[in-house]
Amino acid sequence: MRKILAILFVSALAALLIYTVALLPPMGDSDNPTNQHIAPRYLERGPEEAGTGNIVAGVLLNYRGYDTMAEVAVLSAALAGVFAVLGRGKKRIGTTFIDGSGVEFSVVSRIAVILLVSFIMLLSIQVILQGTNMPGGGFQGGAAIGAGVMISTLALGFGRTQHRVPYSLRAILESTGILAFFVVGTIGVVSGANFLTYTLPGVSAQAQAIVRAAMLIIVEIGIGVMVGAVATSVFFALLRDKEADDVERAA
Amino acid sequence: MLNALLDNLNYVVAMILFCIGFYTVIMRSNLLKKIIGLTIMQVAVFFFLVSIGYLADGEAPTVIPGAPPAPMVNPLPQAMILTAIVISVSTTALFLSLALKFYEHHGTVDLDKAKEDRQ
Repeated sequence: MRKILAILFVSALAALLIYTVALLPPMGDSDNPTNQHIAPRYLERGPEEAGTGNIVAGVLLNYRGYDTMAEVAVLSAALAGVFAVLGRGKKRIGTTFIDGSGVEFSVVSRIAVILLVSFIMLLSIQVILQGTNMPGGGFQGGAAIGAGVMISTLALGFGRTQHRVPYSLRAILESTGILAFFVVGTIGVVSGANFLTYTLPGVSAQAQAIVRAAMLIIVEIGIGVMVGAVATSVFFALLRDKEADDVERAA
Repeated sequence: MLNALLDNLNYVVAMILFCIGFYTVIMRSNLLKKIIGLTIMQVAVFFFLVSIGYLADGEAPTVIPGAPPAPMVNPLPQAMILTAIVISVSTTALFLSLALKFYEHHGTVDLDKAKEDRQ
């Protein structure tokens, strides 16, 4: 009975939503309000105003930089929530594996994973650094870093991977995104402009473009490192409980 | 009506995905499945918003020096969804950690079973 009611309700919702969607202007039409309002301005003047060839990065870091800064803070808040619920996990050097077997992977697969992870890290560095002028950026590169650490944990085991990215290192890296925004933004205030203007005091107008590019890359690197560290820490925190139980049982 | 729906096929798919996610959230008693449903709803919203910024035959919003100017898709939804995806991953991690605590406390992630055990 409950199921029939739910199906009826969800079908009614779907019908309503699809009816509304049919009244929207056709997708991809250049006369659409979404493509008329502010997008042309971003596309035409983005490279000179925001200083980035990649206009998505320009919108993210410059036009709507405050928004991105707050979203990075939300990332920290979610991480704090995970730690509050699960605890950060103690500094331990265990050697157990994800499946709890205690048997190592074969040498072939371990070497293959180490090679794969090193290329993933290389890719993520490139994605972060090219983010201002080409497709890429801090969020994508940071996600790739997190994926690399996760693959390494799956194959090499929790203890060995955690040894490479220890707690003391991650605790610092988890705040680099907000720190980069704060430092760069405050330099903008000192030079007499608004917060997060990407300017340096006492620099000629020509050098200001180089300063802006450097500051954008600093913020990108901060975001990338932070997203990678947060993904790693969340993954380790979610793994922690079973591993801690196993170690206790073994002891 | 049908033509309008065919023009906006991406929107229709997004709405159907949203309803599938909503149904999963309200009907499944397993907490992990509820979280999966929430994630499907999030993805539907991302898909809808990115589709809104699409421009027919538009190129990626990246200016390459020396390249001829071409119509580009709207960069604003892309920039917003980019951050939203990362935020959704971290909030999903929070949901999962709460589900883990629930499991430690009740020995199950199924809400109905946990209710029965309590009675």
